[in-house]
Amino acid sequence: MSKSNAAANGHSLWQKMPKANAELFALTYGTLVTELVRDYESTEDINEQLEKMGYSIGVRCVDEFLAKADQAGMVIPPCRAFGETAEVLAKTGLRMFLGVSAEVQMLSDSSFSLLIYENPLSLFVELPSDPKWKNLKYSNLYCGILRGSLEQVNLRVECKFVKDVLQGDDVNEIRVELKEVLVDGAGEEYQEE
Amino acid sequence: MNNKDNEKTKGMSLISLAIVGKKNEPLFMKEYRDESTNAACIPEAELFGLKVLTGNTDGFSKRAKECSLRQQFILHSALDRFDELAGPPPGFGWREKGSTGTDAMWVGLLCPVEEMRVYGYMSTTKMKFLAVVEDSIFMQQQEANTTIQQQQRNVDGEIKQLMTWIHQLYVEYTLNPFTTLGDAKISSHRFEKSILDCVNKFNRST
Repeated sequence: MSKSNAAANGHSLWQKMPKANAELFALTYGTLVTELVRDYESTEDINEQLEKMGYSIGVRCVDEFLAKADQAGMVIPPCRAFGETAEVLAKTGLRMFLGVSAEVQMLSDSSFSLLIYENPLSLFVELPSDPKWKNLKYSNLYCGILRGSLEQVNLRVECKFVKDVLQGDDVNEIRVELKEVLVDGAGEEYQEE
Repeated sequence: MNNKDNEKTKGMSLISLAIVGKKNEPLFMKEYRDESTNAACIPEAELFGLKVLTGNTDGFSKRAKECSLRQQFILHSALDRFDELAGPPPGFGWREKGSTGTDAMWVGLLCPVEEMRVYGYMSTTKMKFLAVVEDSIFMQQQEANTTIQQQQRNVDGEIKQLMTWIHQLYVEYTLNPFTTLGDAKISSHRFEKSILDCVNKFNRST
């Protein structure tokens, strides 16, 4: 599907979604992260937990996305190339759930970068200047969400934050790499003899 | 008519700022006047007959530069005035009946000290914001036709606006999930930088 279509679809899906207060959303996520900080010792553990939480959100999001698009009369055809997946993700998917769209860059057959300029999760957040916070990926939830949702459409990916506004960069960048295209298959009990 | 308007040397400038919590614990104290430009100012150490420290190698002298003792003394005495004005519990004695929002939180002139005046602002949660301002209100009076009360009201309005900005920045600081509220001093680069921008904006516009 073309780029302008993806953006238009994203915008109209966003209009139809019920909205929540942005401050409440950001503050809730902030308390979640500080709870994790209290529970876990190392920032790697915290990042991992955030990613796992994102994964469970992601597996549910993709069904909602496809269902809502169907209801709205939009056609989201199966993607013929990884680049199309990236565009749909960035312009339609993220736009529908978060209200912000991302840009796709450094696109190759098996990887791309998502650039997010405005991050609704990190409203008001400023990381303390202690060096131990340098490795904390505050918005790692997004990586999990991407991994979870793409796995439901048979794409096994790995997502990593490479640039983070909270750590001083000018933009948030998530690198998505395709590891494997999973094969649809029935479970062992259902295989025909 | 007023050819003095072109001279920006006359006008208000913020000298120091303090944010004090509800138990009167200091959260933020910063001085914004550049001591080196004030030639008439004697270094504090000399006043007490001690040798003047050179360089700012250790953390203590660096912190002292952030808010000199003189300013801290002025701010402490202004704090007493706050308590006087507050009155009996619930402690909002300066408020006029029916005022809400910024008007209710604005206390006003606390005390004049030499050429400086200390203004106060207290939020409903007993957070106190003090500003020490140097203004040339008396010099302006000779040129303009307005009365002292009128000028005081103008000055009040501008400082009230500055206090609203600072209050807003403080609220944004508390909304950061990584800040520990309580007795800790405010230590956030973003907060200090945005307060500095506010102060510069205030100094430029007056």
